[in-house]
Amino acid sequence: MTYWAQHGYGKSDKLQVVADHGLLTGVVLSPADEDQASLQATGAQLQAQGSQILMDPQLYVHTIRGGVARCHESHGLEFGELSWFMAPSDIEAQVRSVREANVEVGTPAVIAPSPYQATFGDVWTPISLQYGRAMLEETDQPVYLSLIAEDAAFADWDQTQAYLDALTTLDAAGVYLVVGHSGRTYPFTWEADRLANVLRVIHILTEYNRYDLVWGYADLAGLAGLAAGASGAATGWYHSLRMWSPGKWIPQTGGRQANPRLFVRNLLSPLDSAGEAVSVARTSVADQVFSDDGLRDHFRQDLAWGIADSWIQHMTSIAELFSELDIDTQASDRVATVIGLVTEALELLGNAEAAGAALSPSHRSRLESLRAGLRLFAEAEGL
Amino acid sequence: MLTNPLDHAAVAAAFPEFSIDVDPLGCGGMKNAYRMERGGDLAVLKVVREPLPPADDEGAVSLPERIRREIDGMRAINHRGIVQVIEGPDVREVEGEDRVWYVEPFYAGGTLTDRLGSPWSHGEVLDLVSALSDAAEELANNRVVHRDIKPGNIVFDGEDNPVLLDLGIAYFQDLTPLTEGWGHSPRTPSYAAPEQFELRRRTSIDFRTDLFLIGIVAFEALTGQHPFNPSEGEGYLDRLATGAFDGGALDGVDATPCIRNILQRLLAPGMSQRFRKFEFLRDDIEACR
Repeated sequence: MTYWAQHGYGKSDKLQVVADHGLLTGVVLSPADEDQASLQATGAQLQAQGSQILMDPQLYVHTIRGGVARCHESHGLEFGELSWFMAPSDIEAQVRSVREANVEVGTPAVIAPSPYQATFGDVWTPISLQYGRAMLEETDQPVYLSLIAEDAAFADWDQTQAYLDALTTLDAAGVYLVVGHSGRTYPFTWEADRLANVLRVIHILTEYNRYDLVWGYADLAGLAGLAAGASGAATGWYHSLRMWSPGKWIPQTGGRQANPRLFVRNLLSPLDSAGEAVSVARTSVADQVFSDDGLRDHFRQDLAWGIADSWIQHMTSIAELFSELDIDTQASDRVATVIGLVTEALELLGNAEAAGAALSPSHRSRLESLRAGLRLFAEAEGL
Repeated sequence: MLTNPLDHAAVAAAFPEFSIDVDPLGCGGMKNAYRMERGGDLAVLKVVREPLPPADDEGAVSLPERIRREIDGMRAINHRGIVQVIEGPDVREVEGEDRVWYVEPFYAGGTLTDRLGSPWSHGEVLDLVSALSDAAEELANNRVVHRDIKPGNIVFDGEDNPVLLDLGIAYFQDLTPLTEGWGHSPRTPSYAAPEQFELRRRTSIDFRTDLFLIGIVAFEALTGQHPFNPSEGEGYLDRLATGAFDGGALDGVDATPCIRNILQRLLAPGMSQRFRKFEFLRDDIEACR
């Protein structure tokens, strides 16, 4: 069981539906999106159903210019003006407020707050470690250290490793990882070398240092993260819950709603439902692409596919995909399994294109990047 | 070339109450070591070669800081795997100048250097790693990093248990470092972890540094060879710091995957790739047995 839902605004019954599939390990709760009373009820309900809960304290929002976390005030999460030269007493007060907010919501473990790090050498880096250290001193509950960094930070392995050398001096139960992307376009294509280094970080923290690790906002890349050693990976209903970007936290006006997508397991790709999914459903390889005949026929007939359908389908599909990976096997076996899945998806993608399906080239490049990242990771770690 | 060399006969003459073997056991960077007899037992006299500075106006003399730390460290830590001070420190005039001396036990089993050369069994290697890591853990619990674990600093007691000698360049984590931030960490070059070659202000040293050094001596015990071949000086630092140690270094060596894994983890170039807790190492050692 490895699938975590990334909670956000407008949860409605989405978490319940995914939980009913029996595939929900846990939920990373967002205090920015529900007030305390409501989140308390959500947490209690999830725990009663056997799901784990953690709460992302989202301090990083306050290190993003223009960032807003709507409901933080109701949780007592008053982070005020953050600066890289904050007094230790300010850090302690903020950490205390996070602990108290967790107590109110009833989480059995606490995620330490952290700023958003653009690199592992920026002004926030030492402070991020101090938040972790302060939380370990603040509570007797298990603590998850926050590692919240932009993907570009992982481009420099020496700097990343120096950060890991420091992070691993903290005796925490786990790590909550969020990798930010500067763009906001979903689905996102990783740069292979950065993904490889993110996977190395996961591997080192879990396999070597025995931290539990939950990768937030991971989406499909979470499958690679699980292969590397993560115990859980999260995705959510909105696109902004499937990839983390600073822009998610800056209020926007206008703009159109994203097209509903259909996550096709055998292609490991979220196809645009109106164009791509219909196109591929009408090819001669549709039976190979769709493992679900009902879904194939649905799109062959170009029937309605609403945004709510796509949200649930995405989460349950990713959850099923994650559950297929046996995390009790050796990391080398897991990586080989995921590389095999990606290779099969790429071949099928090629067959679908050859059969006339009109598919965005971004699906291929995203999968190729994922596979290249996995291979680089395996080579670097000698797997 | 030793700084402040001492005439060994003069040392023996300065300590008439001890029956001193004028042939020294060793002459390190700062001290000479002599076998001696004390109350019928063999012991080791250590004499700091550098003379003490003149006493101040009140007649007080101050020990060199590194020596003071070494002795305080040995006194604070009581563990069978770490050398103890059994007498001293004190000051005695040797060759016309005041010098610090103290006495340590004599360990009859000789040094690890004497025992290297032919490969050890897996069980012996695991025992060595286990005992040395126990000692390193005790040091870590006292916020001390040995930094100089090497065959010459490992002796065996009467029950054949390894004992760590010489806290001379140990890092006391609660005390101000004695090296400048722009300097390198003290080290024995062929028995040093990659981070000891970094400028001190750009790196940190903790017990995982000692784990790397334990990895080197364990590898030597297993194979009879140094894992990074320091005698071939060119490229040594690269081999050390870029993770050139991998399974390939063990090709042709009789080593189970389990032992290989332990050695790879001990000898990982990054501190975060080594063992974060001694208990994790113990778990892996137990799994190997």
